[in-house]
Amino acid sequence: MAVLSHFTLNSDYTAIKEAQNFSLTLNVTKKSVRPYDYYNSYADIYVPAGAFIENVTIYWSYTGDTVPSSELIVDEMYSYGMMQTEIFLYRVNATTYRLRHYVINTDENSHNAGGYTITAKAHLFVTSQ
Amino acid sequence: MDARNFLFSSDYPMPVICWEWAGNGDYWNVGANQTRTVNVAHKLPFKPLLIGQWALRADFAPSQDINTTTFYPVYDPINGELVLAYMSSDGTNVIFDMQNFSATASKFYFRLWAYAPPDYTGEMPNVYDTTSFQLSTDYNYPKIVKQGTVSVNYKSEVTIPHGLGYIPQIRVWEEVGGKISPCTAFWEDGKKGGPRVTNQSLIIRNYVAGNSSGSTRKYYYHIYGDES
Repeated sequence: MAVLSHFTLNSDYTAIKEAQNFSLTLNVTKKSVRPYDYYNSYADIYVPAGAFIENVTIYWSYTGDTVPSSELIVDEMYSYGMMQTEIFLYRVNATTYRLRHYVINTDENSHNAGGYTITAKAHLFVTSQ
Repeated sequence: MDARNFLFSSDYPMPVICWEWAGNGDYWNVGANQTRTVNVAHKLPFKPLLIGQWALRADFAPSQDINTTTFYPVYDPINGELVLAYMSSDGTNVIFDMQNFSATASKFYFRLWAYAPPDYTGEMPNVYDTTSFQLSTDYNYPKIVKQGTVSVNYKSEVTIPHGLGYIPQIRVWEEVGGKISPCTAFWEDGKKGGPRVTNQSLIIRNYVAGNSSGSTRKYYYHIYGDES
């Protein structure tokens, strides 16, 4: 035990370790979405097998802002208020993380959606367990 | 000194792990169309800041970060969120709030670690690395350039300058009703909620949704010298 605020580095303690980082771009196709329908697109990040990679944090760049999250829900993203988009990252298997994007039309009318690019940066951290 | 040029540096505190829940294959079973809350005593003298992942399989394939409450690999955009988990901590427990709206029972697996809050200055319990090294130059270690807490009024935002000139990695947690949980970001009603970061500042907004009481919230943050 130690008063850790007295130290910047102390080898008695375990830290998470950044093993790799990646950049990812997802192009969201412009299309018309039928009433109460949705479409989705995704892009995959491939990582080396063997190590258990965890605590992935991603940084979104959309409309100029960078948002740190593994999930981003944007309601009323479009000029018509019944559209929703959801963007999230998850680990598919030992070698793949997936960035997935949904556009959901909750309206009784068709609407256009998409036609933009989402960029993300992922940082892969490991611990000893 | 540019923190990006170093794997670790004694000029900057390193966030260390003070608690872990590796699970060892343990899981919580939640029946179909049921919810379940489990409290696990953390035995820490503070409310820990949680990081980690959760999954519905022991091999964590698929899995996702605990700051995402909906389990997206089984997500149905038309029928809604089927499986959810909310992770938080208070002064006594790590709290697992699990919801299973699917037609079959689900097993919830977690891998969790925790940091001490920035305003804690007492003794820290050890969590030892099980590899041969506590520090290894094969990896980059997060370097905290700024950390602290901030209170944000309802429908307001607070700007925390970092002045790094590049977009750093950050982590943010929020405290609601005495419980601390990882803070995610979303946009609603044309407003951006939660954290966002520029090359000069971390901006935290007490978002419109999910705050029906209109209450002030306390946020805990780390700003790292490592670039996003």
